[in-house]
Amino acid sequence: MLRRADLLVGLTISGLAFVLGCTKSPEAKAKEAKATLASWEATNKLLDEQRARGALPDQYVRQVIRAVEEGRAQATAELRQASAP
Amino acid sequence: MSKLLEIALGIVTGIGGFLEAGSLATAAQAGSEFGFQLIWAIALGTVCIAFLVEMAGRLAAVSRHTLPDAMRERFGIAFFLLPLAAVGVVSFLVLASEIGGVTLALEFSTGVSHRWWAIPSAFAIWLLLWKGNFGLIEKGTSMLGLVTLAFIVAAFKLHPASAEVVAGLVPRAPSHDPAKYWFTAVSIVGASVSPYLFYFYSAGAVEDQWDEGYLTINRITAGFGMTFGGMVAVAALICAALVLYPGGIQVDRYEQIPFLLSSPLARAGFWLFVGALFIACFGAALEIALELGYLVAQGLGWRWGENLRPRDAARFALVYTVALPLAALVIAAGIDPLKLTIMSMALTALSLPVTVVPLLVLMNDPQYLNEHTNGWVSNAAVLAVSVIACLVALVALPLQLFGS
Repeated sequence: MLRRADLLVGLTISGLAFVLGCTKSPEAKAKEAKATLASWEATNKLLDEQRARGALPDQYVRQVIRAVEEGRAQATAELRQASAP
Repeated sequence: MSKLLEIALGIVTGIGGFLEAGSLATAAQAGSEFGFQLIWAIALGTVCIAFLVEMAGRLAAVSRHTLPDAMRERFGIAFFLLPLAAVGVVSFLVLASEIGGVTLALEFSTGVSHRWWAIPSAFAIWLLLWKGNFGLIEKGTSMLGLVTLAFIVAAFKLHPASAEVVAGLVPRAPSHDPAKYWFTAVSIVGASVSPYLFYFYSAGAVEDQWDEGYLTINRITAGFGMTFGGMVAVAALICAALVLYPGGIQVDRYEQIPFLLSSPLARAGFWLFVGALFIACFGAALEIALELGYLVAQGLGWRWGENLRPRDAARFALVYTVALPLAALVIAAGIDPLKLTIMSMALTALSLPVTVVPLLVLMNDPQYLNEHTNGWVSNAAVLAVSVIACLVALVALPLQLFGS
Protein backbone atom coordinates (compact mmCIF):
# COMPACT_ATOMS: atom_id res chain seq x y z
CA MET A 1 0.00 0.00 0.00
CA LEU A 2 1.25 3.44 -0.94
CA ARG A 3 2.40 5.43 2.06
CA ARG A 4 1.42 9.08 2.42
CA ALA A 5 5.08 10.17 2.25
CA ASP A 6 5.57 8.31 -1.07
CA LEU A 7 2.47 9.93 -2.46
CA LEU A 8 3.72 13.39 -1.46
CA VAL A 9 7.13 12.78 -3.05
CA GLY A 10 5.49 11.50 -6.23
CA LEU A 11 3.18 14.50 -6.45
CA THR A 12 6.04 16.94 -5.85
CA ILE A 13 8.21 15.34 -8.57
CA SER A 14 5.25 15.33 -11.02
CA GLY A 15 4.53 18.98 -10.26
CA LEU A 16 8.16 20.00 -10.75
CA ALA A 17 8.39 18.01 -13.99
CA PHE A 18 5.21 19.71 -15.25
CA VAL A 19 6.50 23.16 -14.37
CA LEU A 20 10.01 22.58 -15.78
CA GLY A 21 8.65 20.84 -18.84
CA CYS A 22 6.69 23.88 -19.91
CA THR A 23 9.39 26.53 -19.60
CA LYS A 24 9.07 29.17 -22.34
CA SER A 25 11.26 28.82 -25.42
CA PRO A 26 13.37 31.87 -26.49
CA GLU A 27 11.13 32.25 -29.58
CA ALA A 28 8.01 32.39 -27.41
CA LYS A 29 9.67 34.90 -25.09
CA ALA A 30 10.70 37.09 -28.05
CA LYS A 31 7.19 36.93 -29.54
CA GLU A 32 5.67 37.91 -26.21
CA ALA A 33 8.11 40.82 -25.77
CA LYS A 34 7.34 42.11 -29.27
CA ALA A 35 3.58 42.02 -28.55
CA THR A 36 4.16 43.88 -25.27
CA LEU A 37 6.27 46.50 -27.04
CA ALA A 38 3.57 47.00 -29.69
CA SER A 39 0.96 47.26 -26.92
CA TRP A 40 2.90 50.09 -25.22
CA GLU A 41 3.29 51.91 -28.57
CA ALA A 42 -0.49 51.66 -29.06
CA THR A 43 -1.05 52.89 -25.49
CA ASN A 44 1.11 55.92 -26.24
CA LYS A 45 -0.89 56.63 -29.41
CA LEU A 46 -4.21 56.39 -27.55
CA LEU A 47 -2.84 58.69 -24.84
CA ASP A 48 -1.87 61.30 -27.47
CA GLU A 49 -5.33 61.13 -29.04
CA GLN A 50 -7.14 61.54 -25.75
CA ARG A 51 -4.77 64.24 -24.52
CA ALA A 52 -5.50 66.21 -27.72
CA ARG A 53 -9.24 65.92 -26.97
CA GLY A 54 -8.66 67.24 -23.44
CA ALA A 55 -10.10 64.03 -21.99
CA LEU A 56 -7.35 63.46 -19.42
CA PRO A 57 -5.98 65.51 -16.52
CA ASP A 58 -2.25 66.38 -16.57
CA GLN A 59 -1.22 64.30 -13.53
CA TYR A 60 -2.70 61.15 -15.11
CA VAL A 61 -1.01 61.89 -18.45
CA ARG A 62 2.34 62.03 -16.64
CA GLN A 63 1.63 58.67 -14.95
CA VAL A 64 0.81 56.99 -18.25
CA ILE A 65 3.92 58.45 -19.93
CA ARG A 66 6.00 57.00 -17.08
CA ALA A 67 4.23 53.62 -17.38
CA VAL A 68 4.83 53.59 -21.16
CA GLU A 69 8.55 54.35 -20.69
CA GLU A 70 8.95 51.64 -18.04
CA GLY A 71 6.93 49.14 -20.07
CA ARG A 72 8.93 49.80 -23.23
CA ALA A 73 12.24 49.51 -21.39
CA GLN A 74 11.24 46.23 -19.79
CA ALA A 75 9.93 44.73 -23.06
CA THR A 76 13.07 45.86 -24.93
CA ALA A 77 15.28 44.23 -22.30
CA GLU A 78 13.25 41.01 -22.50
CA LEU A 79 13.47 41.04 -26.30
CA ARG A 80 17.24 41.54 -26.16
CA GLN A 81 17.60 38.72 -23.64
CA ALA A 82 15.44 36.36 -25.73
CA SER A 83 17.40 37.15 -28.92
CA ALA A 84 20.82 36.72 -27.27
CA PRO A 85 22.71 33.61 -28.47
CA MET B 1 -44.14 47.67 1.27
CA SER B 2 -41.20 47.10 3.60
CA LYS B 3 -40.52 43.75 1.86
CA LEU B 4 -40.45 45.50 -1.53
CA LEU B 5 -38.03 48.04 -0.09
CA GLU B 6 -35.83 45.23 1.25
CA ILE B 7 -35.81 43.52 -2.14
CA ALA B 8 -34.92 46.79 -3.88
CA LEU B 9 -32.17 47.47 -1.34
CA GLY B 10 -30.87 43.93 -1.70
CA ILE B 11 -30.72 44.20 -5.49
CA VAL B 12 -29.00 47.60 -5.28
CA THR B 13 -26.51 46.09 -2.83
CA GLY B 14 -25.81 43.28 -5.29
CA ILE B 15 -25.28 45.68 -8.20
CA GLY B 16 -23.24 48.25 -6.30
CA GLY B 17 -21.15 45.64 -4.54
CA PHE B 18 -20.37 43.34 -7.47
CA LEU B 19 -17.61 45.23 -9.26
CA GLU B 20 -14.29 45.37 -7.40
CA ALA B 21 -10.59 45.21 -8.24
CA GLY B 22 -10.71 41.56 -9.32
CA SER B 23 -13.76 41.69 -11.58
CA LEU B 24 -12.65 45.00 -13.12
CA ALA B 25 -9.04 43.93 -13.78
CA THR B 26 -9.97 40.51 -15.17
CA ALA B 27 -12.73 41.97 -17.39
CA ALA B 28 -10.32 44.62 -18.71
CA GLN B 29 -7.62 42.03 -19.44
CA ALA B 30 -10.10 39.66 -21.08
CA GLY B 31 -11.62 42.34 -23.32
CA SER B 32 -8.27 43.84 -24.30
CA GLU B 33 -6.73 40.50 -25.33
CA PHE B 34 -9.64 38.41 -26.54
CA GLY B 35 -12.39 40.89 -27.50
CA PHE B 36 -15.82 39.51 -26.62
CA GLN B 37 -14.63 35.88 -26.49
CA LEU B 38 -14.64 35.57 -22.69
CA ILE B 39 -18.07 37.01 -21.86
CA TRP B 40 -19.17 33.43 -21.15
CA ALA B 41 -16.71 33.23 -18.22
CA ILE B 42 -18.37 36.21 -16.51
CA ALA B 43 -21.82 34.70 -17.18
CA LEU B 44 -20.72 31.34 -15.74
CA GLY B 45 -19.18 32.94 -12.64
CA THR B 46 -22.26 35.10 -12.13
CA VAL B 47 -24.65 32.13 -12.25
CA CYS B 48 -22.43 30.24 -9.81
CA ILE B 49 -22.15 33.13 -7.31
CA ALA B 50 -25.92 33.75 -7.51
CA PHE B 51 -26.49 30.11 -6.47
CA LEU B 52 -23.87 30.32 -3.70
CA VAL B 53 -25.15 33.60 -2.27
CA GLU B 54 -28.71 32.26 -2.27
CA MET B 55 -27.52 29.10 -0.45
CA ALA B 56 -25.59 31.09 2.15
CA GLY B 57 -28.66 33.26 2.80
CA ARG B 58 -30.96 30.24 2.99
CA LEU B 59 -28.66 28.46 5.42
CA ALA B 60 -28.61 31.54 7.66
CA ALA B 61 -32.38 32.12 7.45
CA VAL B 62 -33.40 28.52 8.17
CA SER B 63 -30.70 27.32 10.58
CA ARG B 64 -29.63 30.73 12.06
CA HIS B 65 -26.07 29.53 11.51
CA THR B 66 -23.41 31.39 9.62
CA LEU B 67 -21.29 29.35 7.24
CA PRO B 68 -18.12 28.98 9.37
CA ASP B 69 -20.17 28.29 12.46
CA ALA B 70 -22.16 25.53 10.71
CA MET B 71 -19.01 24.04 9.11
CA ARG B 72 -17.21 23.76 12.44
CA GLU B 73 -20.27 22.24 14.10
CA ARG B 74 -20.95 19.77 11.26
CA PHE B 75 -17.38 18.68 10.37
CA GLY B 76 -15.41 19.38 13.54
CA ILE B 77 -12.60 21.83 14.18
CA ALA B 78 -9.87 19.65 12.58
CA PHE B 79 -11.62 19.67 9.20
CA PHE B 80 -12.74 23.28 9.53
CA LEU B 81 -9.10 24.42 9.67
CA LEU B 82 -8.75 23.54 5.94
CA PRO B 83 -11.45 25.92 4.59
CA LEU B 84 -10.41 28.42 7.28
CA ALA B 85 -6.85 28.45 5.91
CA ALA B 86 -7.93 28.46 2.24
CA VAL B 87 -10.51 31.24 2.60
CA GLY B 88 -8.24 33.13 5.00
CA VAL B 89 -5.24 33.18 2.64
CA VAL B 90 -7.29 33.95 -0.48
CA SER B 91 -9.29 36.68 1.30
CA PHE B 92 -6.11 38.26 2.62
CA LEU B 93 -4.63 38.44 -0.91
CA VAL B 94 -7.89 39.85 -2.28
CA LEU B 95 -7.93 42.39 0.56
CA ALA B 96 -4.44 43.55 -0.45
CA SER B 97 -5.64 43.76 -4.08
CA GLU B 98 -8.60 45.94 -3.08
CA ILE B 99 -6.38 48.23 -1.04
CA GLY B 100 -4.19 48.40 -4.17
CA GLY B 101 -7.26 49.53 -6.17
CA VAL B 102 -8.09 52.24 -3.62
CA THR B 103 -4.51 53.54 -3.64
CA LEU B 104 -4.36 53.59 -7.45
CA ALA B 105 -7.57 55.63 -7.61
CA LEU B 106 -5.90 58.10 -5.24
CA GLU B 107 -2.74 58.12 -7.36
CA PHE B 108 -4.74 58.79 -10.55
CA SER B 109 -6.47 61.76 -8.93
CA THR B 110 -3.52 63.29 -7.05
CA GLY B 111 -0.37 62.17 -8.86
CA VAL B 112 1.12 60.93 -5.54
CA SER B 113 2.48 57.36 -5.82
CA HIS B 114 -0.04 54.72 -4.77
CA ARG B 115 2.47 53.18 -2.34
CA TRP B 116 2.18 56.25 -0.09
CA TRP B 117 -1.58 55.84 0.11
CA ALA B 118 -1.56 52.21 1.33
CA ILE B 119 -1.31 52.83 5.09
CA PRO B 120 -3.68 55.88 5.16
CA SER B 121 -6.24 53.92 3.10
CA ALA B 122 -6.04 50.92 5.44
CA PHE B 123 -6.43 53.27 8.42
CA ALA B 124 -9.55 54.86 6.88
CA ILE B 125 -11.05 51.40 6.26
CA TRP B 126 -10.22 50.31 9.81
CA LEU B 127 -11.72 53.50 11.29
CA LEU B 128 -14.99 52.96 9.45
CA LEU B 129 -15.13 49.34 10.68
CA TRP B 130 -14.30 50.41 14.23
CA LYS B 131 -16.84 53.25 14.40
CA GLY B 132 -19.50 52.12 11.91
CA ASN B 133 -22.21 49.51 12.02
CA PHE B 134 -23.21 46.72 9.64
CA GLY B 135 -25.98 48.67 7.87
CA LEU B 136 -23.69 51.60 7.11
CA ILE B 137 -20.99 49.36 5.68
CA GLU B 138 -23.26 47.08 3.67
CA LYS B 139 -25.78 49.57 2.30
CA GLY B 140 -23.68 52.76 2.30
CA THR B 141 -20.84 51.50 0.14
CA SER B 142 -23.19 49.59 -2.17
CA MET B 143 -25.31 52.69 -2.79
CA LEU B 144 -22.18 54.67 -3.64
CA GLY B 145 -21.05 51.69 -5.71
CA LEU B 146 -23.83 52.45 -8.18
CA VAL B 147 -21.30 54.80 -9.79
CA THR B 148 -19.98 51.62 -11.46
CA LEU B 149 -23.10 51.77 -13.67
CA ALA B 150 -21.01 54.27 -15.69
CA PHE B 151 -19.52 51.19 -17.40
CA ILE B 152 -22.97 50.26 -18.74
CA VAL B 153 -23.50 53.81 -20.04
CA ALA B 154 -20.04 53.74 -21.65
CA ALA B 155 -20.66 50.32 -23.22
CA PHE B 156 -23.88 51.60 -24.83
CA LYS B 157 -22.10 54.73 -26.07
CA LEU B 158 -19.51 52.56 -27.80
CA HIS B 159 -22.27 50.79 -29.81
CA PRO B 160 -21.11 47.18 -29.59
CA ALA B 161 -22.40 44.77 -32.26
CA SER B 162 -25.07 42.87 -30.33
CA ALA B 163 -24.57 39.68 -32.37
CA GLU B 164 -20.87 39.59 -31.36
CA VAL B 165 -21.72 40.20 -27.70
CA VAL B 166 -24.27 37.35 -27.72
CA ALA B 167 -21.75 35.10 -29.50
CA GLY B 168 -19.33 35.78 -26.60
CA LEU B 169 -21.76 34.00 -24.27
CA VAL B 170 -20.90 30.70 -25.96
CA PRO B 171 -17.57 29.15 -24.88
CA ARG B 172 -15.25 28.44 -27.82
CA ALA B 173 -11.61 27.72 -28.56
CA PRO B 174 -9.35 30.79 -28.25
CA SER B 175 -8.22 32.64 -31.37
CA HIS B 176 -4.64 32.77 -29.97
CA ASP B 177 -2.55 32.14 -26.83
CA PRO B 178 -4.62 29.30 -25.25
CA ALA B 179 -2.64 29.37 -21.96
CA LYS B 180 -3.45 33.06 -21.43
CA TYR B 181 -7.05 32.49 -22.53
CA TRP B 182 -7.73 29.76 -19.97
CA PHE B 183 -5.78 31.55 -17.26
CA THR B 184 -7.89 34.68 -17.86
CA ALA B 185 -11.07 32.57 -17.89
CA VAL B 186 -10.32 31.02 -14.48
CA SER B 187 -9.28 34.40 -13.10
CA ILE B 188 -12.68 35.77 -14.16
CA VAL B 189 -14.48 32.86 -12.48
CA GLY B 190 -12.32 33.37 -9.37
CA ALA B 191 -13.17 37.09 -9.33
CA SER B 192 -16.90 36.39 -9.68
CA VAL B 193 -17.04 33.50 -7.18
CA SER B 194 -14.96 35.11 -4.44
CA PRO B 195 -15.72 33.24 -1.19
CA TYR B 196 -15.81 36.52 0.73
CA LEU B 197 -19.07 37.36 -1.08
CA PHE B 198 -21.07 34.41 0.27
CA TYR B 199 -19.33 34.28 3.67
CA PHE B 200 -20.07 37.98 4.13
CA TYR B 201 -23.66 37.48 2.93
CA SER B 202 -24.33 34.66 5.41
CA ALA B 203 -22.93 36.71 8.30
CA GLY B 204 -25.01 39.68 7.15
CA ALA B 205 -28.18 37.58 7.13
CA VAL B 206 -27.53 36.56 10.75
CA GLU B 207 -26.62 40.16 11.73
CA ASP B 208 -29.94 41.26 10.18
CA GLN B 209 -31.76 38.43 12.05
CA TRP B 210 -33.24 36.73 9.00
CA ASP B 211 -35.75 33.90 9.47
CA GLU B 212 -37.66 31.66 7.06
CA GLY B 213 -39.88 34.60 6.09
CA TYR B 214 -36.86 36.00 4.24
CA LEU B 215 -36.41 33.05 1.87
CA THR B 216 -38.24 34.72 -1.04
CA ILE B 217 -36.42 38.01 -0.52
CA ASN B 218 -33.16 36.07 -0.37
CA ARG B 219 -33.87 34.27 -3.64
CA ILE B 220 -34.88 37.43 -5.49
CA THR B 221 -32.03 39.61 -4.22
CA ALA B 222 -29.39 36.92 -4.83
CA GLY B 223 -30.68 36.19 -8.33
CA PHE B 224 -31.31 39.71 -9.58
CA GLY B 225 -28.58 41.48 -7.59
CA MET B 226 -25.83 39.18 -8.83
CA THR B 227 -27.18 39.07 -12.40
CA PHE B 228 -27.30 42.86 -12.70
CA GLY B 229 -23.90 43.07 -10.98
CA GLY B 230 -22.51 40.61 -13.53
CA MET B 231 -23.83 42.89 -16.28
CA VAL B 232 -21.60 45.70 -14.98
CA ALA B 233 -18.58 43.39 -15.32
CA VAL B 234 -19.71 42.42 -18.84
CA ALA B 235 -20.01 46.15 -19.67
CA ALA B 236 -16.39 46.68 -18.49
CA LEU B 237 -15.28 43.81 -20.74
CA ILE B 238 -17.20 45.31 -23.69
CA CYS B 239 -15.51 48.70 -23.11
CA ALA B 240 -12.08 47.01 -23.11
CA ALA B 241 -12.96 45.03 -26.23
CA LEU B 242 -13.96 48.19 -28.11
CA VAL B 243 -11.38 50.66 -26.75
CA LEU B 244 -8.20 48.57 -26.26
CA TYR B 245 -8.52 45.38 -28.34
CA PRO B 246 -8.68 47.02 -31.82
CA GLY B 247 -5.38 48.87 -31.17
CA GLY B 248 -3.65 45.78 -29.78
CA ILE B 249 -3.36 47.24 -26.27
CA GLN B 250 -3.01 44.47 -23.68
CA VAL B 251 -3.60 45.50 -20.07
CA ASP B 252 -0.24 45.11 -18.32
CA ARG B 253 -0.73 47.90 -15.78
CA TYR B 254 -3.63 49.63 -14.07
CA GLU B 255 -2.64 52.92 -15.77
CA GLN B 256 -4.17 51.57 -19.01
CA ILE B 257 -7.62 50.84 -17.56
CA PRO B 258 -9.06 54.41 -17.16
CA PHE B 259 -9.14 54.62 -20.99
CA LEU B 260 -12.18 52.34 -20.83
CA LEU B 261 -14.30 55.27 -19.66
CA SER B 262 -12.28 58.27 -20.84
CA SER B 263 -12.59 57.12 -24.48
CA PRO B 264 -16.40 57.12 -24.66
CA LEU B 265 -17.14 59.72 -21.94
CA ALA B 266 -14.12 62.06 -22.18
CA ARG B 267 -12.90 63.83 -19.03
CA ALA B 268 -16.11 63.05 -17.10
CA GLY B 269 -15.42 59.40 -17.92
CA PHE B 270 -11.94 59.62 -16.43
CA TRP B 271 -13.30 60.97 -13.14
CA LEU B 272 -16.16 58.45 -13.15
CA PHE B 273 -13.54 55.71 -13.51
CA VAL B 274 -11.51 57.07 -10.60
CA GLY B 275 -14.67 57.35 -8.46
CA ALA B 276 -15.83 53.86 -9.44
CA LEU B 277 -12.43 52.30 -8.74
CA PHE B 278 -12.13 54.05 -5.37
CA ILE B 279 -15.65 53.28 -4.14
CA ALA B 280 -15.80 49.71 -5.49
CA CYS B 281 -12.42 48.76 -3.99
CA PHE B 282 -13.01 50.66 -0.73
CA GLY B 283 -16.38 48.92 -0.28
CA ALA B 284 -14.90 45.51 -1.12
CA ALA B 285 -11.98 46.08 1.28
CA LEU B 286 -14.44 46.92 4.07
CA GLU B 287 -16.42 43.75 3.39
CA ILE B 288 -13.36 41.50 3.11
CA ALA B 289 -11.74 42.82 6.29
CA LEU B 290 -15.04 42.26 8.07
CA GLU B 291 -15.39 38.81 6.50
CA LEU B 292 -11.96 37.82 7.83
CA GLY B 293 -13.15 38.80 11.30
CA TYR B 294 -16.39 36.86 10.82
CA LEU B 295 -14.57 33.79 9.46
CA VAL B 296 -12.14 33.47 12.35
CA ALA B 297 -14.52 34.52 15.12
CA GLN B 298 -17.46 32.42 13.96
CA GLY B 299 -15.25 29.44 13.18
CA LEU B 300 -13.54 29.50 16.56
CA GLY B 301 -16.71 30.29 18.50
CA TRP B 302 -15.75 33.81 19.62
CA ARG B 303 -18.22 36.62 20.18
CA TRP B 304 -18.71 38.53 16.95
CA GLY B 305 -20.84 41.25 15.34
CA GLU B 306 -20.24 44.54 13.54
CA ASN B 307 -23.20 45.98 15.45
CA LEU B 308 -21.40 45.29 18.74
CA ARG B 309 -18.89 47.75 20.21
CA PRO B 310 -15.31 46.58 19.52
CA ARG B 311 -14.68 46.08 23.25
CA ASP B 312 -17.67 43.71 23.40
CA ALA B 313 -16.27 41.55 20.57
CA ALA B 314 -12.58 42.25 21.07
CA ARG B 315 -11.08 39.19 19.33
CA PHE B 316 -13.37 39.69 16.31
CA ALA B 317 -12.21 43.33 16.03
CA LEU B 318 -8.61 42.23 16.56
CA VAL B 319 -8.69 40.08 13.40
CA TYR B 320 -9.47 42.98 11.03
CA THR B 321 -7.25 45.29 13.05
CA VAL B 322 -4.29 42.98 12.31
CA ALA B 323 -5.28 42.01 8.74
CA LEU B 324 -5.65 45.56 7.40
CA PRO B 325 -2.15 46.92 8.11
CA LEU B 326 -0.57 43.64 6.95
CA ALA B 327 -2.47 43.82 3.64
CA ALA B 328 -1.51 47.49 3.28
CA LEU B 329 2.15 46.56 3.75
CA VAL B 330 1.95 44.26 0.70
CA ILE B 331 1.03 47.28 -1.45
CA ALA B 332 3.40 49.68 0.32
CA ALA B 333 6.24 47.20 -0.33
CA GLY B 334 5.78 47.76 -4.07
CA ILE B 335 4.06 44.54 -5.23
CA ASP B 336 2.35 45.31 -8.57
CA PRO B 337 -1.39 45.64 -7.71
CA LEU B 338 -2.55 44.33 -11.10
CA LYS B 339 -0.38 41.19 -10.99
CA LEU B 340 -1.40 40.62 -7.37
CA THR B 341 -5.08 40.99 -8.29
CA ILE B 342 -4.96 38.60 -11.25
CA MET B 343 -2.94 36.00 -9.31
CA SER B 344 -5.31 36.25 -6.30
CA MET B 345 -8.28 35.60 -8.57
CA ALA B 346 -6.65 32.52 -10.11
CA LEU B 347 -5.81 31.21 -6.62
CA THR B 348 -9.42 31.84 -5.61
CA ALA B 349 -10.54 29.59 -8.47
CA LEU B 350 -8.01 26.97 -7.39
CA SER B 351 -9.38 26.95 -3.84
CA LEU B 352 -13.05 26.74 -4.84
CA PRO B 353 -13.67 23.03 -4.08
CA VAL B 354 -12.32 23.49 -0.53
CA THR B 355 -14.74 26.36 0.11
CA VAL B 356 -17.71 25.16 -1.88
CA VAL B 357 -17.95 21.40 -1.27
CA PRO B 358 -18.46 21.69 2.54
CA LEU B 359 -21.19 24.28 1.84
CA LEU B 360 -22.91 21.86 -0.54
CA VAL B 361 -22.80 19.10 2.09
CA LEU B 362 -24.42 21.46 4.60
CA MET B 363 -27.03 22.57 2.06
CA ASN B 364 -28.13 18.95 1.61
CA ASP B 365 -28.39 18.21 5.32
CA PRO B 366 -32.02 18.32 6.57
CA GLN B 367 -30.73 18.83 10.12
CA TYR B 368 -29.77 22.36 9.08
CA LEU B 369 -32.17 23.10 6.23
CA ASN B 370 -35.30 21.09 7.17
CA GLU B 371 -37.36 20.89 3.98
CA HIS B 372 -35.32 23.65 2.31
CA THR B 373 -32.37 21.51 1.19
CA ASN B 374 -30.81 22.02 -2.25
CA GLY B 375 -32.32 20.75 -5.47
CA TRP B 376 -30.16 18.84 -7.95
CA VAL B 377 -29.83 21.80 -10.35
CA SER B 378 -28.07 24.07 -7.85
CA ASN B 379 -25.93 21.17 -6.56
CA ALA B 380 -24.83 20.18 -10.06
CA ALA B 381 -24.25 23.74 -11.32
CA VAL B 382 -22.12 24.85 -8.37
CA LEU B 383 -20.16 21.60 -8.11
CA ALA B 384 -19.42 21.52 -11.85
CA VAL B 385 -18.25 25.15 -12.03
CA SER B 386 -16.08 24.81 -8.89
CA VAL B 387 -14.38 21.57 -9.93
CA ILE B 388 -13.84 22.63 -13.57
CA ALA B 389 -12.48 26.05 -12.51
CA CYS B 390 -10.12 24.35 -10.05
CA LEU B 391 -8.86 21.85 -12.64
CA VAL B 392 -8.36 24.52 -15.31
CA ALA B 393 -6.55 26.72 -12.75
CA LEU B 394 -4.32 23.78 -11.82
CA VAL B 395 -3.16 23.51 -15.45
CA ALA B 396 -3.33 27.17 -16.51
CA LEU B 397 -1.52 28.65 -13.49
CA PRO B 398 1.89 26.99 -14.07
CA LEU B 399 1.53 27.38 -17.85
CA GLN B 400 0.91 31.09 -17.43
CA LEU B 401 3.70 31.51 -14.90
CA PHE B 402 6.40 29.40 -16.52
CA GLY B 403 5.42 28.29 -19.96
CA SER B 404 3.59 28.96 -23.19
